[in-house]
Amino acid sequence: MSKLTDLTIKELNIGYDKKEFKASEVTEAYLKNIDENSNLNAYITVTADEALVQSKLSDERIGKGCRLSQMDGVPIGVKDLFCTKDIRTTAASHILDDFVPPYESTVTSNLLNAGSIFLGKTNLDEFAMGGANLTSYFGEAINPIKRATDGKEVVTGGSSGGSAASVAGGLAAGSLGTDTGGSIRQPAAFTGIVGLKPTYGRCSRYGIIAYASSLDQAGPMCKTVEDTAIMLNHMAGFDEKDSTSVDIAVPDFTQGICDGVKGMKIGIPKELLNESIDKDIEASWKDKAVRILKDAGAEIVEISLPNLKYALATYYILAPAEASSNLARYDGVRFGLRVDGDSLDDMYLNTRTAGFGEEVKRRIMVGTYVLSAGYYDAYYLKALKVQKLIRQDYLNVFKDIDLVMTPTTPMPAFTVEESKNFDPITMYLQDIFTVPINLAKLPAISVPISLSSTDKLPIGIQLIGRDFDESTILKAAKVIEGAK
Amino acid sequence: MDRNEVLGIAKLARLKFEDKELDSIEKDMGQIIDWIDILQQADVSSLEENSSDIEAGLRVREDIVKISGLSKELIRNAKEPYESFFTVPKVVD
Repeated sequence: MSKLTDLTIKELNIGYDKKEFKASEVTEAYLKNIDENSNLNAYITVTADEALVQSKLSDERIGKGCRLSQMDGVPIGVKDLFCTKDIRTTAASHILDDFVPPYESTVTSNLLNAGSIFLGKTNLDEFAMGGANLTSYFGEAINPIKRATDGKEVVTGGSSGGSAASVAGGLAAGSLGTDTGGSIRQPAAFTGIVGLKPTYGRCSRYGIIAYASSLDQAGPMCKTVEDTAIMLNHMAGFDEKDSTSVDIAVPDFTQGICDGVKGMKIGIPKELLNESIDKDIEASWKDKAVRILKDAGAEIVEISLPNLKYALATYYILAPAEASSNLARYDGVRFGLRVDGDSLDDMYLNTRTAGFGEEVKRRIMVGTYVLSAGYYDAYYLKALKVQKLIRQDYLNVFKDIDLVMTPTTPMPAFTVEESKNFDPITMYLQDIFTVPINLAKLPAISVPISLSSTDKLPIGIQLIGRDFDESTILKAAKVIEGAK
Repeated sequence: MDRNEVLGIAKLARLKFEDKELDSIEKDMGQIIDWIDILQQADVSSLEENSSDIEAGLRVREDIVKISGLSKELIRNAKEPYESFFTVPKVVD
């Protein structure tokens, strides 16, 4: 039998049904792996005691043949952006490094009610702002996959870098991420796993520490497409505590997942054909993915998304604007760090200056600027309008096609040293394929397709679907996964 | 983006920068603002003025009083609570 930590969620289910092993054994194996691989810095907080207690409860249910769900007894990592009751939740920021929430986020609550076991809180970019997990107050997470040519460690991507490292490194059977501009899909691509950003409103945002509320969405990060579907089944659903969560039926996402893509029409945006893309990624997209889907019976067509060129600028106005407002709450009064000052204003200033890292401050500054008098109309309101055009572009093409396909990232994972030569804009350009999807509120998945030719680093393909049509992207992703 | 503008924004954002940091934040913000300026080229004339972002309509809940009973737990994270209050530096002489 393969190692317990190599098993997929699906395989864990089969094993539990046959009583081949116990949830507590699986949990102990994961905790051992976490301990032995602490160099990956995948977790900010490991909740070993709580996990073992939860696993014993799963053991009892499995023993009696009364499993709560397919997630019962499945040990997972939770991005440290989800509030977890009585368990420290930091957002990877100094300003929250001793914050213990008195309540549970809806998504983690759903997973707990389904019997999932929480191994701990995974590392991320501070307040989910970053594309390489380099901005965490707790240090960067490390990609379990090294670059073949020089053996160097590479970044996990971000912001859900710890969640990606935990799944790719065998430190969790699946992990929770959040995605505001690519924070699930990009690290999934960099670490060779599957990551799905559901439609905005599919999962509740209640209890997720806000970055850009109109774009943030929770999603699963797993070893396989089917695991991703299983985990999403137990995350999604309407929640009265989040007024933007949508009251729409949640299908069983595993249903029909093997149905294939025969008869589907899949679009390639012509505006991206001349983007500067790594040649291996370009070949994986234009050649390999196209061939796989064509061979499986899909029709590939060229489409036009004329406003795509404005997506990054739109995102880097709207997201910082919302962040500057959302992060105004960190003032030292009610929770988090407090640095005293002579006056109330001094205390605010000292607390925020000491508590936030460089990238967070940069985004608060840009956000404050685009919302300030004299610039609000020219930047913020204009960006809101362009966002509508971008969404309209997608709605137009979805009248004729079922999916849009792009690469997930323009380049494979890089080293920490290489990233030091990046200015902020070079880093922001990493999000070129993922950001438009958040602006358009649509669901998208990143699925591994190949390894780069010399460095042997993972490459991900992104599939984008209609509003609330996660099922179709899962079907197509399953075809790409199965063709490897 | 000049130094005074950066200092004005920093004041609004309740952030303080050392002189050395100011050089780099001024440079970064200048670059970012130039970069997002591409948006001025976008033609948004096809959109109706004041068209709502909310297509499906926001859900409105019933206005029902609920007791969370969380006040003790909520104050637990405050650095300097006094009984059931948050305290701040003196604001009135």
